[in-house]
Amino acid sequence: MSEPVEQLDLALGVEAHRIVVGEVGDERARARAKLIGEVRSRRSDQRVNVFSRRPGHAETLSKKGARIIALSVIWIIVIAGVVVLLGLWTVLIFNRLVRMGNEAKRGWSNIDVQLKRRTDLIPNLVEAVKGYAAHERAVFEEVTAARTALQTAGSPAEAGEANRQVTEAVGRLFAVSEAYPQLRASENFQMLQGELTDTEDKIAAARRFYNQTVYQYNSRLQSFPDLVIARLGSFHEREFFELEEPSEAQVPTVELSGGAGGSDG
Amino acid sequence: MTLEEQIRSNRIRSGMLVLSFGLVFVAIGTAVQAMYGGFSLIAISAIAFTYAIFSWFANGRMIASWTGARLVTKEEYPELVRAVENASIGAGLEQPPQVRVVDDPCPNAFAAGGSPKSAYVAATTGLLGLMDKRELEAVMAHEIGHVRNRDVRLMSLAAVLVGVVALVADIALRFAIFGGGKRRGGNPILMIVGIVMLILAPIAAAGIQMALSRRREYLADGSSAEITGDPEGLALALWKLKEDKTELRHANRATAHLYIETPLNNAKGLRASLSSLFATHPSLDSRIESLERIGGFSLPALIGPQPRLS
Repeated sequence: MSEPVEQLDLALGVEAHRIVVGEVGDERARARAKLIGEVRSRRSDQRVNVFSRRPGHAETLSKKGARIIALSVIWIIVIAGVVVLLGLWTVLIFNRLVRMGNEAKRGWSNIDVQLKRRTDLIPNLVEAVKGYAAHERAVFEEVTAARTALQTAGSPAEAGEANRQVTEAVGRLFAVSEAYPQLRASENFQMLQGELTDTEDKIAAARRFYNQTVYQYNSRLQSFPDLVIARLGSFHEREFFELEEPSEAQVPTVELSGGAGGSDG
Repeated sequence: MTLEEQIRSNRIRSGMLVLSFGLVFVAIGTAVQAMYGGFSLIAISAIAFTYAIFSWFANGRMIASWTGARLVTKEEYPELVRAVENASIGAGLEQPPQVRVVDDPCPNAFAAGGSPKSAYVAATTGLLGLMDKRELEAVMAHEIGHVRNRDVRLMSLAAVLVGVVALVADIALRFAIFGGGKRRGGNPILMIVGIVMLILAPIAAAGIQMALSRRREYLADGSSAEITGDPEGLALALWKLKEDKTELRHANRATAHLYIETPLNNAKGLRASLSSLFATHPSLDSRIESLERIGGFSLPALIGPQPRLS
């Protein structure tokens, strides 16, 4: 079914006397040509939908549709924005967990280095003491057993327990050596004693850092948004190392209010 | 303020410090250009730019040569190096910073340099003589705290960029007061330079203050307590520093803010009155107080009834 195109001319809604004289020809010709094209290409169940202002009737017909389109575009943008933000947020939380996990791992390797150094020093110490007090066999065996336990320990908790045994056994060895002034005076023994004390200090320092990071990491894994991502990304809580009292792991808070220089320049 | 916020703020402040240093010299260059013409602006800007770039990378070495801090090995100073190692393990640094020693009977310590990898900590021989192992570790942990909190780059840049103005001002001031005697009224330009420097010096000191709040010292004290788990040790060390009245030989306004305790306290006359106006450090008493709050102890009870040194 075809309509006479010429009659649509009337539907342009352009009132000739309202158009600036010079533009009339142009305006009419362009709008008309466009409309004709539109009408010819449409299917029978379609309306002519021209967004230009010139064909007035077309605009009134599509106003509602245009508003719906605009609204849905806004909704799509909003939803896409929320999805992108959620994605970014997830990435941020994930990265923070990875970073904190790595920090804890580094803390553990610090302890590990010192534990290794300690196990390396112990045979030398045993040899040094044997030279003066060969008959104190029970102590040597205890030290060696504790050292082996420390070497084979798998988890931080196991290593902590083994390290405690080593500390006790080495303490006993030093107590025994008190009875041998010549041993105590020997340069080698003094050097070993100094090294072992230093190692113990370093283990204590590394332990403090490690337990603090583990405490922070574990409490992150237990709190809400991180908890979900931790499940999905299979993050696991880490064990403490020789934690005597839980408060030790917590970072002391710095009070700034009491100071004279409270203001920030 | 968390550690991350502190680190970020320090980074921004470092950038702003370099930028404002550049702007000041472009302004000076423009003024000189207006007066004398030629290539003044370009020349002055180029010199300032080169100096700023140089400072960014070499501030640690510059400060080392100003203060006379030399690199030492573990064989020379085992206790000091061990204290630094322990503190940096406790702080979780990837590697302990370099250790330097200043030959000076006045007990003091500072940290300088850029990133944690290129930074160093320095102690005076006086400090090594005065502190026991526990206190030395606490003091080193305070310095390591500055390194970990990324305070060192900002503090070092403040010393070499802003502090250099104060340093030149101090020298010019001395020159204008003492050196001008011979040619009284002979050289008005020198007098003007002297007066300008007189004004510039405290402004430069105030600039350092703006970049570095005194809160930084409280934070580093807190870091030390966290690293060693021993706020009492640091409180004892600060008390010893307070009781000691030796004067640091290389003390000047450019580097004063770097030290754990201000080295200008014992200065006399004009410098003393200026330094109290523009103090870079909170008083040791208030720092000890805040440590007492962190650790829940009382220093007088720790020290016991032993007679005070003063």
